[in-house]
Amino acid sequence: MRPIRKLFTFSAHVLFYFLAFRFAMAQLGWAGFSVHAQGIDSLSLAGQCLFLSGIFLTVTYVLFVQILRSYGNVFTRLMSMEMLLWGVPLSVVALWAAPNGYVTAMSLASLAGWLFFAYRYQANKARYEKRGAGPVPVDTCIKIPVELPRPGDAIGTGGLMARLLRQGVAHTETVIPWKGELMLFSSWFENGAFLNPVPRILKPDPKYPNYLLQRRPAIRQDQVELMEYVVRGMIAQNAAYVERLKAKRERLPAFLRNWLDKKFPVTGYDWLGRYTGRRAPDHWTCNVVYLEVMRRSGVEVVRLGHGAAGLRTGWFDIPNTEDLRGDDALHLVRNAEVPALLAEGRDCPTCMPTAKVAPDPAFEAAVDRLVSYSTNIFAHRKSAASQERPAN
Amino acid sequence: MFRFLKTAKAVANLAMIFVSWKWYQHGFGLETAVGCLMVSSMWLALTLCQMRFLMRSYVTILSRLQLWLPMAFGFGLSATVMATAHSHQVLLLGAVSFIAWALVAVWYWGQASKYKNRGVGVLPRGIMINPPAEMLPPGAILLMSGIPGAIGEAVGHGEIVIPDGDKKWAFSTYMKYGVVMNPLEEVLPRRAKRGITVARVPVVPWTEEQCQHSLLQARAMLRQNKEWVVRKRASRANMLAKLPLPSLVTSLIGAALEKTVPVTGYDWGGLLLGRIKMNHWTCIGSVQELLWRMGITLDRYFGTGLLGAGTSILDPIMPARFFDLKCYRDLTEAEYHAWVASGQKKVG
Repeated sequence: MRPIRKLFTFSAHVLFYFLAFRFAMAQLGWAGFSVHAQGIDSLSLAGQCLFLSGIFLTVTYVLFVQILRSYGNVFTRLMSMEMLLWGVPLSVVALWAAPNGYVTAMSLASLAGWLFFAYRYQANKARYEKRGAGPVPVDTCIKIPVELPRPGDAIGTGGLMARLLRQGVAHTETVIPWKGELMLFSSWFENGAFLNPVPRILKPDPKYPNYLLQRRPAIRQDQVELMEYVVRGMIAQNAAYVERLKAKRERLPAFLRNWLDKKFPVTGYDWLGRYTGRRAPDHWTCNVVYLEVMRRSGVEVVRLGHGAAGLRTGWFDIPNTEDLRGDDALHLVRNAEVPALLAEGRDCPTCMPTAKVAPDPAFEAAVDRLVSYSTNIFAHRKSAASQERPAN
Repeated sequence: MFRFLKTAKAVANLAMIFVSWKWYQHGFGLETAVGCLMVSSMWLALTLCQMRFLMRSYVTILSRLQLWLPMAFGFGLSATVMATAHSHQVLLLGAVSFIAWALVAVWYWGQASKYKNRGVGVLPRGIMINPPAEMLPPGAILLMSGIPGAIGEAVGHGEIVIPDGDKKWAFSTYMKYGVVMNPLEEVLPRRAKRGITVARVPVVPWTEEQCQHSLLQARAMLRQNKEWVVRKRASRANMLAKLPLPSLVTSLIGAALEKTVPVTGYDWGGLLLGRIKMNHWTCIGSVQELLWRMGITLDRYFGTGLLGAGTSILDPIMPARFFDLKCYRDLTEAEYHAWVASGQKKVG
């Protein structure tokens, strides 16, 4: 669904700006744009404005819930502003230049559509409060007790990136098991793939709010066990990458090497991924670390970084901490829940409004049967009782 | 870098096809000999640029075609230049072009002699056919006869060796069963009856940690795949039940779906597209995913999509392309003989 949404938004933008350019050139009387006015080009000024406004209005209302829900994401806010700033003036111009009653009515409808969106957008702001450099949902627990996180959870933190993006949080730390205790794993500009003790990151600091995205239901024990292997593998892989890249840079001319070392130091951080959103095999940004740890541990997680137009190119589609909230299994912990969560030993089955329903025994039995069958299918085929592939 | 080169190569080839076609249609106002010379030189330059790249993946039919077709075209054009040249200079250049193509052909046949025909395709000369299970180290990739026999490739199915104490598993995805883990000593004789199996082994042997990790990872992928199967079968049944059609029609639709794209855990879409999904894969897709999840960096990843743009569209992952990997090497007959001589082979 996410790639389709991206494709839709991207295509609508391309269409809008292409037509806006074409209409503007025709209105200005540029040669080649107004000679053979046919089809869409033959629209009056009001018609053209209405058409353009309609493109963005369609995007806005198709993605209405999505836009309101992801208000914390700076890119969503920018897109909303962009569409409002185009849509309202275009509707006003259409109303002013309307040649007949039908166009006047349509212009009024368009303007009403934009005003309603602006009202809902403004009303939605009340569900957020400014923490650190940007908005986070009201009542978000921003002082997370160190006892609360468990493996598979994501912690969003404020800081440099958050200030840059005007978001409450914009850095992700992944909660992992490590030698019998919990650690936070992420990728930092200065260190690349990096482990941190939980209290170091979760220390209360009004300048740098944190929030906890708790995985519900919690990941299974076998996934927890696998996660430690995965993280060890990723750290080794990242170290090998650093070594390889440093050796490569040694072969470059001194001026180029110095420039690269200054702008893109070899730390294991994915500088290119910071701007493109790609997923490299051995160096990552902080958000991609979370996605990779989960994917490699066999935990299904929201797929981000599809690339512009959702075409999986990994270009110009930066995975954002706020985007992780699009994962149904990640629940933003609120202040009101914390006492219950702490009291119930880090597990609160009664407060899982957005969590997926835990698998039922029949589901587990069906999966176990298939797993058993697929482990040495020859043995099963040999036995007369297991001639047929098991159904659910 | 691999993706960048792939994109550059694909764009250059498409551009050359376009230029050749335009030249064929309009001639660019050049006389025949000069036009032929120009197009031949451009193809020659492109072929020389990508020759090493293509020879590395010589086992795949597409790479061989990318060499044969320009060579045939180049020879034809050079011969035309010499036949239609109106001046000595053009004739001389035509001869140079012809000789250059001949050198390319000589170099090509020299490189091609490192391979030999096997079944419907080619394999590296000296590679061990149907190696014994005991000889295969953890992480060895098994490439076997499979589907693409029809398109001229010797191998079309891939599995990977997973160690489990004294036992070894062959991990892969089957069209009929989805992700499977089978005892290696049972897989190899069965495959040997139906075709050939060759192995590529890691250049850097796996550590004990990686061996343990691979087993956990394989089991996790197996479980994840089966969870997807159960969910998908249930959602398909629900979807069919919701259709406002007579039960006979829905059961017919269900049967048709089960016949064409059964929910087994195999990625039917990936077979054509080359995508890697999170919970269902093709045979070689599951091998690549397992290595990715284990944190083993390959020198190239397949299934990057048309033009290497990462779209995962129309770029099926051919098992034969695993011969390109530099971090893996072929298991050879010489190694087998050395292994037998060392007395490690079990008697009987």
